[in-house]
Amino acid sequence: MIRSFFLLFICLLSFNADAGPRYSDPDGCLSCHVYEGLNFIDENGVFRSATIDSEHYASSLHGSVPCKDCHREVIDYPHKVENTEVDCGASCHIEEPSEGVKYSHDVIHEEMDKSVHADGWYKGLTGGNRLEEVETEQDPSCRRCHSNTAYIAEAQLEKFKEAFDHAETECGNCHQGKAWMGQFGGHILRRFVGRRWNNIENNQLCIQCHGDIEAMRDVTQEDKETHEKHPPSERFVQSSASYTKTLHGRLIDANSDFGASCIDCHAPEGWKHEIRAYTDEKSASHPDNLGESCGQSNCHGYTKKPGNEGFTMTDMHSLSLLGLHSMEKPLEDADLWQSNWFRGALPLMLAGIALAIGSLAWWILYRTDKKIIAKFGGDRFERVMIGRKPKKARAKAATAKKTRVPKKVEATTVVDAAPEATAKADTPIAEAKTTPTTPSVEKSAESTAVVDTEKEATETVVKKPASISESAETPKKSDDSES
Amino acid sequence: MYYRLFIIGLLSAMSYHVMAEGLYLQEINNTVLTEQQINESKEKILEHKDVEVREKLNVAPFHQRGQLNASLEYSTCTGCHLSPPHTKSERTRTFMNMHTQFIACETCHFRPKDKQLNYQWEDVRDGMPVKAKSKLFRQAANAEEKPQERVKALHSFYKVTPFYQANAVVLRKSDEFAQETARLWKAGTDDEKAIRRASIHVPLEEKGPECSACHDKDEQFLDVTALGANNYQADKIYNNIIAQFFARYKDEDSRIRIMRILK
Repeated sequence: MIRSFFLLFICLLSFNADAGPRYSDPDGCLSCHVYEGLNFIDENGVFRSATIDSEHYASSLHGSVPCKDCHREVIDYPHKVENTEVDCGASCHIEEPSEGVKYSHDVIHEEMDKSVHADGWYKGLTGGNRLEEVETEQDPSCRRCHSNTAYIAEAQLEKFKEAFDHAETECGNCHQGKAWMGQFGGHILRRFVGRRWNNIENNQLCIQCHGDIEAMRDVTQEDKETHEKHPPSERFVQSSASYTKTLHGRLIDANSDFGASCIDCHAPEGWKHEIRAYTDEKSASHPDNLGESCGQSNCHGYTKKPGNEGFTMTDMHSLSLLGLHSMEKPLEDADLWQSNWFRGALPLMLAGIALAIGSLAWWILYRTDKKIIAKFGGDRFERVMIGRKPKKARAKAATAKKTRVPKKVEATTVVDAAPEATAKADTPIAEAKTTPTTPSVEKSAESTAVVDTEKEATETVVKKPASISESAETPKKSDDSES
Repeated sequence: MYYRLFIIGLLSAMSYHVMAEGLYLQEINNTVLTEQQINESKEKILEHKDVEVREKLNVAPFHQRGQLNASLEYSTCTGCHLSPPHTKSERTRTFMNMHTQFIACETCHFRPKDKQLNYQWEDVRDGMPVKAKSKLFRQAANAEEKPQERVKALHSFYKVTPFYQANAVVLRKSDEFAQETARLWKAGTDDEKAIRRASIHVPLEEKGPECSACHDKDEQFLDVTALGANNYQADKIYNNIIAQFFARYKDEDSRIRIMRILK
């Protein structure tokens, strides 16, 4: 009985020791830094602020980390600048609960150290040397990409709250007490609600530097073997611009889950910081490793199989991609004329425009006309099959007729242009030939048509639609014929 | 009846603006400068180097930080001085700049010995006095009951300002004198600038009062109770730990170990 009581006491004691409430300001730093408006402009003209938003800090990624875990040497006031320096690789007093190992970002720093960004600052960071870093260091420091953002991203807050409510009933059944829930429950659940950043935000970190073309031109690169320094290639300078033209970049811009981010291809493993040059054999983007990299997560799984290596030869940063333009708003694209695609398509576009205009004009002017258009070979067909004279001979004969005075004959019958009659008149009357009207005929003829008396003097003249009367083989009708 | 009242109101409003030439501007106009003052002023002008203010850098601050105080833009002083203005003293600059949120420049730097000024809240946007009340203080009036409201946001544009004969003594950017000074600074000669600079600065005290002037109950440079503070707020102001900590400094360059003091 005594032993059980003793064990229970020890358990309670250890629970309290591990999961007690944490205070982010055990050293009283916020006594001063909590004041709003602790601003000044330093000797370099940089606007500085010593204010710490206590509410934001408490709900931030480092909310449970006391100030002195990072700013370790601060012992006096005014603070010596060197005493405020932060080393992101140092271990802090947050402990991993199962084994009590102190937490540290050093594993990430070790990865960074192998990457092309190895020279980025990870220690000696102060508020006062940001300008120096900007002006002297081309590689990114920890803080260039990371800041002390909220522990739960705003976009995930509702999802987290929902999960946390659930945890209070499920987890809280055993893990009673707000301290445990606050310290561990929240931490575990945060991981469950998903990634903090989406691919667009991930890419933005890279693009904020690599998208600055002028800044990239100023980058100095070093040959791995000879250590010779040289300016970057144009392919490197334009890497962000070319990427955005690829399907990977465009899918991510469209907020699709299928797009591959910069990190997905350049640092797919580990802590996602080991970005190596593509010439490095250990690089995920080295040609020998592309099969594995492209095939990760079943993105392009077939690239892992022999015979499919050709797929990986597609250059995702080819300069030729820069010529591709978004055609969503082509007229707003200032560089459109630089695009071979646009210049190549221009003749087709002009022809299309001409065709469209011509079609519209035809539709407006001639849509009611029904013309018999002489097809290729039509003349020969008529000569061979029905023994008609050749076109030239007919034209000659017509000219000869014009020289004679036509004999006016009134039609014996005038049929009103009723629909039925019109329907009849639609049938071609191959042999019916009307003579060309002369001015005198046009004036005198009322409800009559002038016909060639040599052949069709007795034939009924039927009011015909204009399409027939104006056909190639049919002379013009009087303007009054439809009255 | 209403017609008369309207006329009286209109004349009152006009007289306020017509006669609103503050004491500070009167002092500027009445000051007779010595040769030494003008020479020192010219020396300062020639020594001056413009500072290019870099508010945003590619490397952002790691912590979420404070914002620039918009009310400072209404002060004539920030037309030449930086905003926030205090830069020299490593120990006090941030705290003095913090006070610029609710204390006008002239409150600390215009302290004529032969004139009795009284201090009131003023809306810097229009120069109108604001009625004293406890809500204007950063320290919440009922913090004991609501600890979460211990610290609250300030009203950005209300500041404690010296008044003389019902007129605020401050020099506003909209004043003709300030605008003329701005024009002179663009087109004037160094000698003209030196005279203008001296006439502006001679009525002022370069160094403001010590913290204890307000944060010590026995000194009371500002009567915080008259400014609207209740007993709780007044007690917090008089017993401010930072003011007490700063009282330990014997000279500007000394450093004091802070551990255990601020806990």
